Amino acid sequence: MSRAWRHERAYSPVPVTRLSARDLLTEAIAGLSQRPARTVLTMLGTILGVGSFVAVLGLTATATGQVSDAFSVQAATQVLVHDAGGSTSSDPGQTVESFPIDAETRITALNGVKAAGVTWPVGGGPTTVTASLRPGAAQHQLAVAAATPGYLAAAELELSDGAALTPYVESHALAVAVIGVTAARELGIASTSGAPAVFVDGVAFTVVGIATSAARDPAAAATIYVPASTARNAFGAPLAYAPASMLIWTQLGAADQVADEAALALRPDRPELIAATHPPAASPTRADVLASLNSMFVVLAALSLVVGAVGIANTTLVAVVERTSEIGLRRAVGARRRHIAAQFLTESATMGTLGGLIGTAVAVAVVVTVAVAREWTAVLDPATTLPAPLLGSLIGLLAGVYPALRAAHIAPLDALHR
Amino acid sequence: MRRRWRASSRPPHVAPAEPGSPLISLERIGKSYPGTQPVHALAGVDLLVQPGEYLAVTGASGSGKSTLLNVLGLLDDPTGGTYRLDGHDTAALSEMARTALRARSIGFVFQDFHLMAHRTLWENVALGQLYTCSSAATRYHHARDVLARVGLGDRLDALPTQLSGGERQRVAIARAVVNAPRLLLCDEPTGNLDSHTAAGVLDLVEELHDDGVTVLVITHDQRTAERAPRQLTIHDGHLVADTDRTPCRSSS
Repeated sequence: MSRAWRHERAYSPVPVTRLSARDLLTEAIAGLSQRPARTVLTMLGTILGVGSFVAVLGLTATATGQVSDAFSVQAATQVLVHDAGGSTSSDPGQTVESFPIDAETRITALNGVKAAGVTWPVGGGPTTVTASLRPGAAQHQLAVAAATPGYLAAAELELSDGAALTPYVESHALAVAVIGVTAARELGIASTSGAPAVFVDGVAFTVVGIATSAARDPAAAATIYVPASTARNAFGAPLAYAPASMLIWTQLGAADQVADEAALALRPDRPELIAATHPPAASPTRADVLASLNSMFVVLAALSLVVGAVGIANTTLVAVVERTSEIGLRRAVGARRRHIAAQFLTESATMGTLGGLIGTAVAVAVVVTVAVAREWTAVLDPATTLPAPLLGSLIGLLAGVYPALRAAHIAPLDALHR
Repeated sequence: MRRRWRASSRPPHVAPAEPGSPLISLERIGKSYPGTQPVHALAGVDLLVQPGEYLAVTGASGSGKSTLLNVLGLLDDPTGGTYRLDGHDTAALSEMARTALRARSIGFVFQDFHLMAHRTLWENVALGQLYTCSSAATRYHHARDVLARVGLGDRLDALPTQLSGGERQRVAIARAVVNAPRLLLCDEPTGNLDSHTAAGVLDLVEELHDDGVTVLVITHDQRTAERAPRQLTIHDGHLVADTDRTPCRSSS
C-alpha cells in the first residue's frame, strides 16, 4: 500500500499541489466568516457545553472549599467528652459525677488543647426562672446550665454586654449568671447595668453578662449559665439522666489525639466512666451531595457538548452542500481530496476551538462573579480549566469528520455543473 | 498598444514531455455511460492541437462537446483511447499527478463564472494559485497584475456581487490565467452575456491567444465560434468537421 503510494508520488511529471497550514487556516476562517451569524449560533452549543463543564467544576470546587472553611474547622477542633458513669445506674434520679474537680486543669495540660470546661443542665432540664420574687411574677421555663469558665471559653461565647464567668467567680461560688440574649429578652433584661437579678428555683443570681451566641454551643442564646460550683451548692450534682459533659476546643489537627487521651487523663483509675467523641472525619453526607450534584451537572455539560457537536456537524454539512460549486472549482484549480477534507475539518475545529475558548472564559467569569458575590475564594483547577478549550477543538474535529469526508468525495465534474 | 501578457516573464509551469510534441493528442477517445441503453458521449475522437492554437468546438446540446471539454480538462476520464497532454499519457498518471497537471497546465472559464461571492476579486483570482504557489504575497501580486490586465485593477477589494456579468467573466478569466497555463478551456464563456459584453470578453480571450496561450472554446453560438481560426463541429460524439483558416495549415 505505502509502496504503491510512493511509486505514485514519484510518477508525477509535475510538482504536486500543496496547501500550507497557514493557507488552510486562512481559507477556513474566510469560509466561516462568510456567514458570521450562523457560525456564532453554531458555536453556542460548544460554548454552553464547555462553559457549563468548567463552571460546574469551578463552582463545585469553590463551594467545597468554602463549606470546609465554614464548618469543618469548627468540627475538626472540637471534642465532646461525656460522663458515662450514669448509664449503668438503675435510678435515673441519682446524681453522677465522674469528672474530677480538677477536670479542666487535667485536660488543658494535654498537648493541643486551647480551652476546656464542664457543663451540665441544672435540674436535668428546663427550670423555672423568674425575674422578680414578687408574688405573681411571670414564671419562665428556661435552660439553666452549670458551666465552668473553661466551658464558656471553649464554646467561644460571644458577649454583647458585661463579662463572662471568671475563675474567681467559680472558685468563690458566687451567685452570678451570664444569660443568653433570647432568655434576657424573655425575662425583660436589656443590659447588665443596675445589676439585675434572676431567680432560678428561687435562688438569686446577679446577671453579669449577656451572650449573643457561641461557636460550639448552638443553644447559647437561650441559656442561663451559672458557675458550676454555685450550681452544685445550690441545686446539687448532675443527675444520671442528664449527666455532665465536657467541651474541649483543640488546635486544628489535635482533636483526634486529644479524644484518645481524654478518658485516661480525666480518670486514670476508671477510664470507662468517660466517653470521648472523636470529631467527624470530613462530613460524608455533604461530600456525597456535592459529588452527586457534580456528576449530574457534568452529565448535563456532556449532553450540551453532544448537542454542540451535532450542531457543528449539521452546519458544516449544510456548508458542504451550499459550497459544492466552490469545492468543484477548488478541485479544478488543484485541490486534492485531502485539501478539501482538511479545509472543512479546519472550519469545524475552528468553530469548536472558538466555542471552547469563549465557553471557558464565560465560565471563569461566572465562577469569579459568584465567588465575589458570596465573598468566597474562587477555586479553579488549572488541570481542568486550561485544557477546556481543547475539549471544544476535539468536539469540532469529531463533528467535522463526516462532512469533510462527504466534501472530499464530491467529484469536481458534478460540483462544477450544478 | 497591447501589453504583453506574460509581462512578469513567468514561464509556464509544465514543460512538454517531448519538445515539439502537440499540446493535445487524442487517439480514438471514447466516453460511454453504461446502462440498459449505453450512451456514447464521445466515440473515437482523434484530435491534434499544437501549442498556440485557437479552436472553437460547436455542436448541438448533447452532442458531446461538454464531455470533450471535461476529458481535455482532466475533470473526467475517457472510457477508451489515449489522451496525451503535453506528451504525458494522462491514463498513466495517478489522481494526484493528474490534479497537479490540471492545476499547472490548464485554466478553466465557465459559463456561470463560479466566483466565490463572499471573497474579494483578488482573493477569487488568487485561488487560481492557492494550491500551486505557497507564498501569499506572490499570489496577491500575481492576482493584482492579472486583474489590471483585464481592466479591473482598481477594484481589487470589490466583491463579485458588485460587478456586471461581463466584469465577472473577466475576473473568471483572470483566475484561469493567473497560473500561466498552457491551455485555456472555456465552456460557453459568453453564454450568460449580451452580445456587446460577449464581444469584449472574446477580445480578451483573443489577446490571451495572441500572447501564446492555447485556447479552446466550447460554444453553441456561431458568432463566438467564427472568431476562432480553427472550428470543430461535434455531432453525436463524433468530430464531423474541422475547419482551419489558419494560414499555412491545411484542414484535416
